Amino acid sequence: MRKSTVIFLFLAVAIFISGCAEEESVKLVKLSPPDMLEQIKIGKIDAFIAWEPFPSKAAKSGQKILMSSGDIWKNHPCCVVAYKVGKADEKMLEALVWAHVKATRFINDEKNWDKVVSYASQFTGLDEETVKMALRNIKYVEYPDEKEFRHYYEFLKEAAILKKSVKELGYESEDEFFEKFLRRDIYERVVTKLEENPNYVPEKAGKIRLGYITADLHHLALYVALKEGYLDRVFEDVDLKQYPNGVAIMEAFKLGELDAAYLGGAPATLKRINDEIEISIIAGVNNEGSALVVKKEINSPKDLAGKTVAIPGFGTVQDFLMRKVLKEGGLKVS
Amino acid sequence: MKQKIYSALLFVFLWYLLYFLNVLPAFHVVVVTFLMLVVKAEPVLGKTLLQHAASSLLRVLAGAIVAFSISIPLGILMWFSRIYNLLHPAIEVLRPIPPLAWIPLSYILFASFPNPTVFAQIFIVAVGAFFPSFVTISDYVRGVPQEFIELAKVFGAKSFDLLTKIVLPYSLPGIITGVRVGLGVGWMSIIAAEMIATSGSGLGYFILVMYEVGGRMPEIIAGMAMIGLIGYSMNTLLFKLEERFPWRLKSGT
Amino acid sequence: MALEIRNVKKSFGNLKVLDGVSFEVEKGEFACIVGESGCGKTTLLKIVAGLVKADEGEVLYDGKELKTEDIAFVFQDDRLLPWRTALENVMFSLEMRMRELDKKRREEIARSFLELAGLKGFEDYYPHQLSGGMRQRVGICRALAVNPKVLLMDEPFASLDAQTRNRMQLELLKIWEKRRKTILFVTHSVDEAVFLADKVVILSPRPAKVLKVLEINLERPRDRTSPEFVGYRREIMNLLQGTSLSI
Repeated sequence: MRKSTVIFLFLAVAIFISGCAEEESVKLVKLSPPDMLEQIKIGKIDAFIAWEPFPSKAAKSGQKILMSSGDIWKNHPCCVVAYKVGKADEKMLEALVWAHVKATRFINDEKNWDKVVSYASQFTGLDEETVKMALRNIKYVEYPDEKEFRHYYEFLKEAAILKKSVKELGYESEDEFFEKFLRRDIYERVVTKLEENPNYVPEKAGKIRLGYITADLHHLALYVALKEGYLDRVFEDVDLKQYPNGVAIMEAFKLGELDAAYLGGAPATLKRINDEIEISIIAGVNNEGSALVVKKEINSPKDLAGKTVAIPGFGTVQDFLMRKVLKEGGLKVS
Repeated sequence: MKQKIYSALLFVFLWYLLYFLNVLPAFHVVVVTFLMLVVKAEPVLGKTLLQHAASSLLRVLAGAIVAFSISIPLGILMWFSRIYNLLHPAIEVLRPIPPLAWIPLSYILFASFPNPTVFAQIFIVAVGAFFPSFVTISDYVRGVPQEFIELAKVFGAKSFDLLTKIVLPYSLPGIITGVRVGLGVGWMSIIAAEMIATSGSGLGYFILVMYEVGGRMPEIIAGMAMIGLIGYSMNTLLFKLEERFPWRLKSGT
Repeated sequence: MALEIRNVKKSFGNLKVLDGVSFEVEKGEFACIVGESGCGKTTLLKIVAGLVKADEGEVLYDGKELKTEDIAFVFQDDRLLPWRTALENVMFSLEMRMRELDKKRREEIARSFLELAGLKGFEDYYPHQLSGGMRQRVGICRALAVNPKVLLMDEPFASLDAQTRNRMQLELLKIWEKRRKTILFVTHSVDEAVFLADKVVILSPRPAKVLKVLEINLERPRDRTSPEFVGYRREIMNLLQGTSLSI
């Protein structure tokens, strides 16, 4: 009894001392982007980082965009299209990549600007002025640059967020891993066929279960592919499922709920390795397109010391970008 | 003592069995992870396990203080049949509602407060701790032997004397049992509440984030072990205190 | 005439328990009430104590109604408060009944009674640390401390073993000889009644009536084996014939 009391008391004292000893560092909290807008308004958080259109929406209601994600890391890959290895067949993948490429090219065609703005407004439920501002921050792409993409991997490894090495997953080297993880062949086949014949349409596939993130303007190509009829032309049935963030999509992959999905490259890499969820990336979606929003009195990343910053989830692209900002500003996460 | 050693050995043996079946990480890996997390901040959230424990404990204490400052006096007043008849039916209806079912309501109630999540969590702990402590205390109070009341009346006790000199001291071990049971439920409530609402710290939040980031089974189990250890310590300490009252009604651990 | 019980009647629903009980006890007299188990002895005592209201009849002391504050009660179970020490248990009755006394004075009185009952040195013991006999003596001290006009005792030694019981009877007489109180002592043991009492009130089985009031004219300490003692016992036994009394 005596001895155990001493141990309990010691434990209690240790817990409270460590609870009080907080150095100057930044507190990261997880919030859904709609909540971020609410909470920065009432001052519960001091800053947030999220995908468009949320930063533009915040800017419109009086908050300040401190840096766009292009300022943090020029041309960083963001969202990608991935599929669950073993779930989707080649026919399905070619059909999906075709629809995605067609939609992306539609978005990037200056002629379609008005239509794109109207689609973006429908997809996010925001007014056209806000989505125009947001669209300017996003670069819609067809395939990410592999070198840039591997940057995620290096950073996650360095920050000890990755728990496993590619060797533990059964790969000889990182190069071999990335060769399997970033599958360029389908994309190249589709593009070659489109060059030969701009009216090329792949063979019709059956049903696809396709995931994406709620109101994420990055995933506009999906909405365009749906509205312009690209998906209907190559699939008999499209089952669309919404998720709050990329981590949730990876969980859905694990549970076998999805054949393919639009999601951030960082959670895709992180969960591919940590949880051995077997997915491969078959197309890019966008580069850049997130931003760090702060309260008026914050003028540089250094001012974030001792503040609370919201991210959409741990292991997301935005978490990754935020940690990059903090690291470069000499700040710690707590 | 020997029994305890056997029990521990069996536990570790079963664990390694599950490890070889590829269900759990090795026991020693979890132990090392636990110890590392106690001294060193975990990189994703930047906090040690002790800091998370402190956040959870502070919330539980705040919620429990709110709960007990109502449940103890109210529980004792249940001695008066008039108050008992008034409150008992309402309590019996509210009691089966699990603390977590109060979360949405609490968010609406505290939406206008400066820190709704914290208030909501404290509220949920308070709800979780209130009912079991209140019911334990009021059961104890209702069970004051008629013999003691008769004795006090023979010597001329007034209503107030009965409450302060018989009901209250008789119920003291019951109050401690109530605090013990209430803290136990409060502790479970806070862990669950942290997993639902974003709290930024706390053991429930810690294990959830570890799950989200993936590949962290040892961290998750270490977090669970901390939850268990603290719950066990609180229960044991209060139980030892209860045992000092020779007239206490026997209650389970 | 000090204590008068006059034609006391009591029923619980259809169950008639007391059917006109009357007897008298002199000041400073030790009176025992004997009767079959369940005949209403305890109910009678509670009526005298004012804990239970009689349907009919009255209880007088010096011609006036006897009030609860005039009596003190020793229960069959010791009924000590387990969260109080022996001393604090004795002080309990003083706290309730003699509110005008300060704490120091109450403690002095309690100590003096514990000493009288041979419990010096056990003041700070909790009830669970005391033997059955000691606990019962604390209960007696608690009752005597408030200086009651009448001391009511409800089979106080019933739960003690035979040896302790005999010793307690002697102890009680010793205390009573020092502080002469009017005592009304309920027992179902004829032996105990003859050993203790100046006067034995013999009750009939339910509904209870007084069969006889018998004066015991024996010198104390009484010899249980003397022919006179046995004679008194036989007389009471005969009156209670056919009932399940212990000897």
